[in-house]
Amino acid sequence: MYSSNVIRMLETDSDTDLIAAVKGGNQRAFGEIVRRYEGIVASTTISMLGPGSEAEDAGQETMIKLYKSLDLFKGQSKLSTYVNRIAINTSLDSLRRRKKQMSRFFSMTDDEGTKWDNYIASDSDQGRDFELRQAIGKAMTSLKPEFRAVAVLRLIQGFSTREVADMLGIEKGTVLSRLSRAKAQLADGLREDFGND
Amino acid sequence: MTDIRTQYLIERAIDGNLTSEEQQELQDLKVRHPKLESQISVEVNLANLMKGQAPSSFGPDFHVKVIDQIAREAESRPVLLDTDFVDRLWNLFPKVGLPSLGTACVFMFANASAAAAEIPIIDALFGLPSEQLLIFSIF
Repeated sequence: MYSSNVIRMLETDSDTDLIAAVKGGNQRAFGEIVRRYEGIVASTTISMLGPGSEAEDAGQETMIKLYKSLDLFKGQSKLSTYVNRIAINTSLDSLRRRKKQMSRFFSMTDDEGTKWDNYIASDSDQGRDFELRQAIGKAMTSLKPEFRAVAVLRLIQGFSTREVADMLGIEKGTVLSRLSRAKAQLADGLREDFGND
Repeated sequence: MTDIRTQYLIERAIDGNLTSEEQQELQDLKVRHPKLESQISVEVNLANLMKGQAPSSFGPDFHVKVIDQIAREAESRPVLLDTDFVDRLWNLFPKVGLPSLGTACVFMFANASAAAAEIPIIDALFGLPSEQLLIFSIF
């Protein structure tokens, strides 16, 4: 077991130090990376897949892929960008799998809408923020996966259009046109829930 | 749907990154397309509304599940001598001599699941001064 001093050291280490420690075989350091980036991964996979086990599985898969690929990470981008790239592509893979499995029997959008309806907030999530998250989540389900990915990265995670293009491996012009359509659809969806404000 | 150039300018405006030329270009576009002003305000509101608005946790077990899964994968992976490991052994050799080095290797392979352990045993050995390592090797 590690002393509390070692744990405190890990908490204050930079991402670069943690990555070096993981490469040296220190799994505790990877635990700290998971703790640091769970929020980013959760907001990406849940926004893409809706709340529930599918998003959590995609989150775990993201972390495992991150662990296995840390040797390839050269630090040319921020770790948050690298993690998000894995999370968004894992979510897109998951949506493709889901489409194959379910499209013949169910409407994907209905299934996702139900997930958001069933989404139960923790105490700290109650109130207008919770309602807003739920409304945004449901509005997201109206978007096709490729539009949704752009909206999640740009609007929720706040990446630049250049970064979004790099993460998805598409042209910046494609990001901008998808963003334009996604925003128009989202604004319509949110107007239904929140009026014209 | 907005054309790509206009959308580019809107995104730059949202990020607060417009150059003076781009600012002028956007101003000219607003004059030519009066509805653009309200569209930009909708998009700015949408950006402000949505930023960071997503559930940001999977729940208390997530961390444990990931670490467990990694530990399981590490256990099932064959032990490999990577170049870093070989370099470190080579550098240690003149310092502690063959018996201790042999002991370190025995410990490493005896703990084949060392990759899953919290501190690989070899790290612990390497951190010791050579005298302690020699004493340790007796056991």
